[in-house]
Amino acid sequence: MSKMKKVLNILLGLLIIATVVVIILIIVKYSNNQANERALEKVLEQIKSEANINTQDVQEDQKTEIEYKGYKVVGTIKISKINIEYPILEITTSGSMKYSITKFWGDKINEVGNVCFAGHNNYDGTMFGKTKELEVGDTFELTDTDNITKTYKIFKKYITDPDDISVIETEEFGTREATLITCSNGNRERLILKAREEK
Amino acid sequence: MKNKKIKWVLATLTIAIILLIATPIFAASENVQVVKKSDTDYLIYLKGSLNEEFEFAFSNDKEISKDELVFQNSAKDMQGEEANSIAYVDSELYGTYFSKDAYLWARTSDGKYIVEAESVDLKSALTENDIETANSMTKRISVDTKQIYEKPVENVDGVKITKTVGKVVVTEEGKTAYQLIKVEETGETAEFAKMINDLAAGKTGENYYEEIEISKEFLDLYNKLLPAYGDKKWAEPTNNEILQPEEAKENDEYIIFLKNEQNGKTTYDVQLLKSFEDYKPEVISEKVVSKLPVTADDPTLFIILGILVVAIVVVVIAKIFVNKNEKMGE
Repeated sequence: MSKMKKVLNILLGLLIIATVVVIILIIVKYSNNQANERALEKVLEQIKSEANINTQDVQEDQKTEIEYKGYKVVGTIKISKINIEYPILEITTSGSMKYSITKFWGDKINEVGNVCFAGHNNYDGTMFGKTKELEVGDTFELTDTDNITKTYKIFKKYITDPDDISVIETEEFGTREATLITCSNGNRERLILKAREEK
Repeated sequence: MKNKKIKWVLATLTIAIILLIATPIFAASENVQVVKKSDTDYLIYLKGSLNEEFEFAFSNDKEISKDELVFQNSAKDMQGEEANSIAYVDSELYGTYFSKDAYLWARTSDGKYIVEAESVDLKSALTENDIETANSMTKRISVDTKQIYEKPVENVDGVKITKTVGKVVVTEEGKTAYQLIKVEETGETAEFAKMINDLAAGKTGENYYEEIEISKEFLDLYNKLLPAYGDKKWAEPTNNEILQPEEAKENDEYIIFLKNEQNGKTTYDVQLLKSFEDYKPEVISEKVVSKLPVTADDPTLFIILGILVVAIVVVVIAKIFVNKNEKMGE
């Protein structure tokens, strides 16, 4: 066997091992995503049960605050069309976005004004991975910590630049608006879905 | 036997009810106002008769025949052209009539009665000092009621909301405290608020009779509506400012009871506080957003996997090429 052939065999072996390792890492990553999804389902159950207690004449300062991975939960989002429901974490950081949908801008959920939510466009369809399937006219629900749910109807869907911060603005003053933000075209663009409370 | 008892009870009850109904209830004096000069001296002003001479008489018997009354001439409450005609109680009259309920009759020189059997209540008579106090209300403790306060409320949707609220600024020296009550649409608080407005505008009555009447009504309402005289309920203004309560709505009015202590003297006063609810939005930049968040899935592992797959393909091709060369060389 020639020297060249030996080198190629060793190289091929190493490449195959590296490929297997990378595949394992990918599997682990998406397994973690699924584990996170299961953990989030439990958080959602907890939110619902606490919300029932909190609506029974409980003083504001006695309400139970729910946290997930150290981040305060400020509500939930449910998009039936793409079959997702997530707790909304209070702040948007690279850390908090790993775990759930986050509030990026705005006051309390279901308050008058625009509230923006950010979620990863995950390849496995978790988080906002399937929001590209939503169209104008589709609806989603936001539930706040007082267990009040309001339905929002999408009135605008567009792709924009990551520097376009006009998405945080309220389009119609005095109304409840919600904006969903996720990445598009890798990290180069943002998919924006703007919705207004359905009355 | 039992029936007899019931009859007795019924009869007693009937008599009691008849007696109750028959008991005369004397209304408060409606046509006279009394000013106390001393414990035994009082000036009595008759409604509509301040500028005419008259005769007056007292009796303890409300039903007395007018022929039995002992009339005397009215007097003047002061010297000069502005003097008012009055009936009066001096120490002699006080001793004669005012150890029990006393009634007043008054008639003009032509014999026309202007007051008949009017109850005279000396106990509730105001002093000149009381009248002066009531007339000077809203001016006793120096305040500025014309100011407004722009209070930051909260930040909503990137907009700072400021709320314009009413305030009263205490400009008086010394230690001032206050109590607030809301003015309702009707009832005593509304009546009192109107009186405060009138007093602030210098409307103290058309004549001295009305002045006494208004003063009496004002002081009665003051004492009735003041939440508490004790120290506990009196709040101290922050930075000499009394702001409208948090729950106040546009155009709500509040009566401010003021108390000022200065050089060992305590002064009381009242003011009205008008509420506003004028929200002023102002765009702020407390949270600076220059870029939308990065929400793409991390593709690093897929890129590495792609490179590895390409490298494997290249190595496999190279291997085939080397194998071919070796076979050709053999």
